[in-house]
Amino acid sequence: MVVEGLMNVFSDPLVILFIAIGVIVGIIFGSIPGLTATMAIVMFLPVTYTMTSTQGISMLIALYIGGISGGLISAILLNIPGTPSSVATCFDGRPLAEKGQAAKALGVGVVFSFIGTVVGVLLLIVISPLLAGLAIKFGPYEYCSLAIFSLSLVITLSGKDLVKGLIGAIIGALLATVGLSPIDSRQRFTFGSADLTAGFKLLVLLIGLFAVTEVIKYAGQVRKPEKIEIESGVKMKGIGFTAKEFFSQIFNCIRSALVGVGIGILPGIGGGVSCMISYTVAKNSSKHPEKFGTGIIDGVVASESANNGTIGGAMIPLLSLGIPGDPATAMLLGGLMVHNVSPGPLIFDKNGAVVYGIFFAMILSAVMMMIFMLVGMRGFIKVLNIPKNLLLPAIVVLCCIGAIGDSNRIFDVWGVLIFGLLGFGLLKAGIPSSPMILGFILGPMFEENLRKASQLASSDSAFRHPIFFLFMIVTVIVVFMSLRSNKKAAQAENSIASE
Amino acid sequence: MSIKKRVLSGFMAGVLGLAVLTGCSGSSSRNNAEVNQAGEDWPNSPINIICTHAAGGDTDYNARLMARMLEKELGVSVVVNNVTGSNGAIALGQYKDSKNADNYTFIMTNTAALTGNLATGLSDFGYEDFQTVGIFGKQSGENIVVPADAPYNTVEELIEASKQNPGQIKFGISTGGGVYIAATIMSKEYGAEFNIVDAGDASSRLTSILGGHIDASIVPYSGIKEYVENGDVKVLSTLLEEKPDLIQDIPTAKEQGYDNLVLNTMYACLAPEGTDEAVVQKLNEAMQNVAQNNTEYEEEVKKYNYQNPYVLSVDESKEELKTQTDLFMKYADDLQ
Amino acid sequence: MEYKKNLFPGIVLTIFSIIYLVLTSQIKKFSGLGSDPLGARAIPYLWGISLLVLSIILVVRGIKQRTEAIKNNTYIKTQLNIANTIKENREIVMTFVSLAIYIALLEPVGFLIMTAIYLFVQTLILTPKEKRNYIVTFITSIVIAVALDYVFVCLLNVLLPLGIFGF
Repeated sequence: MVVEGLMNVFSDPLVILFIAIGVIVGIIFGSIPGLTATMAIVMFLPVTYTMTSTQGISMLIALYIGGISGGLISAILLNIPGTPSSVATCFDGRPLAEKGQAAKALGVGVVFSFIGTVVGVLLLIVISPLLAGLAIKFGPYEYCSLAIFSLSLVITLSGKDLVKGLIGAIIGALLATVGLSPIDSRQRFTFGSADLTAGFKLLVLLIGLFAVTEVIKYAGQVRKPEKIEIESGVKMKGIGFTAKEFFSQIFNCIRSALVGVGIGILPGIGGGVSCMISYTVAKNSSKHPEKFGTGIIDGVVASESANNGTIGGAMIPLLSLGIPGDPATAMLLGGLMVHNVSPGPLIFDKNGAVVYGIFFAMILSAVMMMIFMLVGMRGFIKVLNIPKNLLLPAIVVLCCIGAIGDSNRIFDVWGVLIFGLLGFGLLKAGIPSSPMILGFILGPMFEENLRKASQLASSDSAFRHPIFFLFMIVTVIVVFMSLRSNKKAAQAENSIASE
Repeated sequence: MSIKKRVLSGFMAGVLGLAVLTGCSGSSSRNNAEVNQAGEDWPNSPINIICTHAAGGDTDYNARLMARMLEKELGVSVVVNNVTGSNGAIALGQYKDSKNADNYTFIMTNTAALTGNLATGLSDFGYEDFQTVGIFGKQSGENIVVPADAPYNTVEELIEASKQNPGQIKFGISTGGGVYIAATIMSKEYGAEFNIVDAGDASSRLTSILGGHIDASIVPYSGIKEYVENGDVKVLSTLLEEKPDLIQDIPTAKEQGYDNLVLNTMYACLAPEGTDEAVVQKLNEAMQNVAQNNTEYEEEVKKYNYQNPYVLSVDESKEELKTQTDLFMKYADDLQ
Repeated sequence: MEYKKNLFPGIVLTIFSIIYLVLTSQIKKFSGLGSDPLGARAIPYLWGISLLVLSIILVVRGIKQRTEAIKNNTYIKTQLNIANTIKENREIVMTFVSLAIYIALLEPVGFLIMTAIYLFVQTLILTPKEKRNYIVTFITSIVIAVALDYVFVCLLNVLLPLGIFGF
């Protein structure tokens, strides 16, 4: 079966060609703000209907891996995450680029994306059934406690001002309440508008907060000559970083990839959360947490290993349970079904060769992704040479196309403008935007599962759910510890200020 | 002008020229307002199909497969786009207006969404606000499913068990959809006393059964087949009115004596109000031809979703939509 | 001047959270079969009240800083001059306005024309007066707009608005 799978992938030159095309298209979609991996898969899914199963599935997987990986390029070079999965890559990737180390940031991002993918795929191959078993143990109680735990990480992301961090998170959660309520589909804050009924989209929020804000920041300094110019004559040497730096990150990388896989196997959370959780975990357990956000490779490693680990993680419930974890894998599920592969407990018995084919296609895609990105890096860096006054308007237009293309609605472009204004307001008020994204994603997850749990409570009490208690205890510990470290950081700053 | 600049502007002029020359062969004639009187020559430009549900799902698959076959049938390109959100209500609301009636814009959706949204108050329009082109497919059925080790083997035993322990059997649904209406029928008409809990969409309902978070639920056949074979879950009955050819071993709820426990999800093609009657008729005939005479189509629907080709004429489709709407509207008060 | 960053957002958010809470109380309840004990209002109330509390903290903090600033004589009375503020930040204002016009006219006029115009205008906004080159900007805008239109409408079949002219 393994050999058959290997043969399926490597004996057909078309498969290899489609993987190469998929990876390249994926990287392009991933790297352009507004266009995402999911969109790439949506657009190419119908094309694969007419291919053979191995060709079609391999191409979709290549698009997925390329798309998630490509997001780091614009996160680092433009401070706009190319896909939701790269939000946390901006935190340290951008400061690195500002220090003139864009090449290093890109190299680190690419190589650790590759390692993250491989860790995910290896876990997928080796202990998929075990992890799938864990995934179905997660019911409303467990998800609810996981949401609370993840929300508590806002404290770490808040920086110096906890109140403003919390405000950011709650504004995010508030925005997510617009539309139909979970469970009973009540219209909330829709003012009778059909468009508002569908709610705001994460993609639109991200575009508004990051892309429009970048344009505004630039607009604010047009007449002021003392701009921060990123050194654009960066020369690439090898892959941009040293062997010593590589080995110093091994532990961080493995931990982050595991966080990514863990988030990936739980349906409905996705890469956007996994990179932020991994980033905060790396920061909390680092010996020098104060350096995070100032441009250290640890942050880029944490984010990029995690979001790529999520790919392998998300494939686990997809293949062994037939349950998609995010929109991208939902598309993959459609692709599998079209080719007569029904994911589920019997997939190894019935379609073993296809499954092994998928594993090989994933590894081949990851390798090609790394090669193409490392080769392409010299070209990507040239983006910094394009005058911003030409580049930024084009990016805004691309973002608008992305917003429309996501569900073919003009209304979503207004969302871009509204969130752009909001992002500008928050910037002026000193309210951080990253807690807002966490609040936006986790708020609905918290509400939906809390309310589902409240329905269960009459015949299934919380005491029968050990995972629930585990997460609640961990949450209390994390809140306590991060409050203490925030306080310490504040004291340290005060003592410096008073000297 | 430096050389670099000259090369750059040369390149740009090239791109510009190329784009103008090649033009756009895609779906460029979407705004033919004046072709409202399409006669003999329809279709002579690309047809646009709006699918109300996301790519990768069963509604999308049926729409795209039909579109691909129609392309050969009609000899023009048929382009499918997904306009998603609110269980299809967004797309239907956006395209029902007559301003979209250009004879080349059609909507493909499923009947549970179309009638269910009206019943739950999610939208205030039904099939009557469109021109019905036709029903072109029938889902392989929603099934009442319980874990394999559950003590009940029929719908009757399940309902009896719920009466003995009121509120203890957790029945997973997704509030507002067809599955919810089926659960309402079981409770209101047949006296079941479940603890009705929301368990999300089809795949999360399945996960919840497997993880033991709920005791029973309703799930489409294509999702559970593997689990039945593996001995994880068992099927008590299908909610289709008649058993599909491909799945003969599952009894219908109707056979078990629950006449009203019927949920036929079908795939329907609609046109914006004001579309030419002759065009609607022509498209319906093309779809009938595909479903009845195209073996490739037959193979593909069987392979993907255990469906049999199924198609209705314009009038039959209207009748079917009316029946389904009436059934759903009977429970509208419980749903809003 | 630090107090401004607390006081003004605090006031705005306080008003916003009160409006939000009022709207929350108007959400229709669902009491049909399978309704949950918490309902559709509970969580919005939780968020609304939390935001209200946090914004009041901001307001209080802002007032404290202001009194302190007055006490230390570092308080500078500023007069809010809207015309001046707009003039100082005219690029920002113009960016938002041009984006709004772009979006508003996207559907009636069509993607290709509006994109070309928007690219042209936005590029000029972002270029200091002395460096503006109208001809180059004009050509670049049209080329980018045509290229994007070609890729997304023709190759990828994205439903971008065609507008009155049909392209």
